[in-house]
Amino acid sequence: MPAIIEVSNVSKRFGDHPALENISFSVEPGEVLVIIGPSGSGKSTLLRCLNALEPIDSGSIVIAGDPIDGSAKNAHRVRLHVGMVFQQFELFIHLNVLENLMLAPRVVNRLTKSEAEKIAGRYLEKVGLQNKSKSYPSQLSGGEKQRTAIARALCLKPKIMLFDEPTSALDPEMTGEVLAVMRKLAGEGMTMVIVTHEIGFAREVSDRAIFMDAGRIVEAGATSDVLGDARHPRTAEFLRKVLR
Amino acid sequence: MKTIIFLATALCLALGCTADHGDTYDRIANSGILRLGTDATYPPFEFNDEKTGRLIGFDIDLINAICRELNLKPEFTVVPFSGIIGGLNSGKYDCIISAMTITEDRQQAVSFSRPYYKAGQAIAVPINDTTITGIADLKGKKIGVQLGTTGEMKAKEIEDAQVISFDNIGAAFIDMENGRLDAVLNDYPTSMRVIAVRGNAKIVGTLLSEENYGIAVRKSDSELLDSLNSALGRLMERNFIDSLNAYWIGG
Amino acid sequence: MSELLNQTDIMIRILMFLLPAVPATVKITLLSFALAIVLGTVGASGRISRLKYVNIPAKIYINVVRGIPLLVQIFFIYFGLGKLLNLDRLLAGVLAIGICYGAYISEIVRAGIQAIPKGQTEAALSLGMSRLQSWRYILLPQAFRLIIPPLANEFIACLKDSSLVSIIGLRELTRAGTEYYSQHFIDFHTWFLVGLIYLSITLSLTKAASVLENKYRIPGLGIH
Repeated sequence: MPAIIEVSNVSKRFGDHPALENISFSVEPGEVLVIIGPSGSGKSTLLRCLNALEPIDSGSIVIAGDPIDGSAKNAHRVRLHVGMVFQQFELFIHLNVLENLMLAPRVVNRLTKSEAEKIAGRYLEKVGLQNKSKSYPSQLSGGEKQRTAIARALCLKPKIMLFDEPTSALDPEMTGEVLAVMRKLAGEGMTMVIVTHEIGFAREVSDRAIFMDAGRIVEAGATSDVLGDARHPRTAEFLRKVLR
Repeated sequence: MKTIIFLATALCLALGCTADHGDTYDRIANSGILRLGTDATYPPFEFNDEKTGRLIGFDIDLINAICRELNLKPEFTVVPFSGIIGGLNSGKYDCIISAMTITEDRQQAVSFSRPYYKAGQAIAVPINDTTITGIADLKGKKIGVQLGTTGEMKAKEIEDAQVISFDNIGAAFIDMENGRLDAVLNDYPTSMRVIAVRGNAKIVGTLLSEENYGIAVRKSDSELLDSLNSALGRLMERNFIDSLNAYWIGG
Repeated sequence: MSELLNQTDIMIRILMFLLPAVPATVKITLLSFALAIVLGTVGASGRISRLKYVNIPAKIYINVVRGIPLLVQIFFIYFGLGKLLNLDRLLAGVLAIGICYGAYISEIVRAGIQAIPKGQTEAALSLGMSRLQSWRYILLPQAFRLIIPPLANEFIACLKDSSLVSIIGLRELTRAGTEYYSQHFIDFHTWFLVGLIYLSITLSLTKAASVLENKYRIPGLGIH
């Protein structure tokens, strides 16, 4: 099967600071990939590049057959393949939960109100928030916000879901409900790229893992290999720290 | 709303809206200073000298001469004409010399000295205009005037005329130059003066009214009025006003 | 007592003289402010834009206009440009006030938009919205809620500044007051009533703004 994400030799700098150096990997349809690494290692930047939110300096990224070329039109097409979940949720604060879900289907896919409402209702049910549809983001708990954000992304029926530290901003007792939703998605065969510090969760749901440090991929392979007995001393040290 | 108006009028009465300045004469005699209000946008009667910026004009020369007669020093306050009587009655200055026509309406609010100048309303039109030759042609026209002047009152009597009031008469002339007014109605000497400086306009027809300029004081200040009148009388005997006429207006 | 009645009679006479001028004041204010909002939104977009040929003109517009008294701008547009454009009195007055307030509102709108976290735009983009759509559906509605109070202030200031157009011969409330005063020499009553009418308009506006603010308040979020 051809890869749905194909990243080759991608580099990017922020001023003098190299953010990504010569990154290459691919993801196959239905695969779950986790990216781990210390903060500042470039993993979030990499994820944002996959969504054309950050331009790359060199190399190439192909998403579901569409190469990212930096133009606004192309970025729009790529983003229709890809759903994104942010660390800080980024729900639209002036819209209630239902409106958050319905906005993009209506203005991007030009669905009618009732069509959009149907889709939104379906995904709200999937994340278990059908009773919160009239609530505003500020009235939700962190876990509910992130589940809303996941449902919002799903409404556009993406082929790939990107998660940027989806549980990092949550209180520990709320991470479980978000991880449960992600687990369900993985079980349904969604292609997912997850930046996370939840090593236990990563071990459980992901097929492959990438360990990054200082903008480079240090180690990549099957999750059991990378997160089981890390061969690289840098990975081992990181795992020791986060698992402590 | 009614209650508010009622309260306001009550407040107004309590404050004593028309301030009493009965001791004006004593104060002037003691200080040796005569405080004057004038609207310095009205050549040749009162305006600022282009080079020096000093207040000059027919009225200014006249009041300076009156002050010499009375052994006083003049002190000028420049105010817009539309508010000049209010300023007098609220005690900002003690008399007005500002090319002010003596009218019945104004006599309700202030007292006037004996007339010192005979003026009249003149119609000014754009220099190329041939349609307006007298007051009968002003029906339904756009007429520029100065706010609060006898010209404004006269213009408002004209049938269907659209009267546009400006803070100073120069603005009305500019507006007419720019083609937005059909005529300007104002005192003859001042209109002549503006035309002499700016061009682009001319006076048509005969003067609309005979008007007399007077110096205004508060109604309570009869002693001050008496001394102004006697000083004016002495100056007239000496033909001083004729010489001012010759100098500022040119016959 | 008869004096009091007489005074009340004067007040009512003046009020009857003033009230017909109120619609003109309201009209000038509404038209100018509508123009100012349009210019303010365009100006703010220009200021935020990274494109030089949009950004620099916007900056020039805002700084030039804010640096010149409104009165001078009115004179300039009506008399100064009179030979060139020959604008109608009302149009000139509305243009001058609208352009002037547009500059101030530009800065308010800009501050409102820049107060919105970058993540909101990124979320909109990641959902496939265009830049324009993210402005239309996310940035502007949120910014609008943030700027209702400062905008209401500008509106009230604009109402008060509408009196400045009387210098080009436009007859509005203040001019009507001057007219009455210059003919009847009744100062306290006239200016008291003119002030009272302005005050009652601004107080109702303040009330309307707070209703608007509550209506569009984002539930549970303390945006003031």
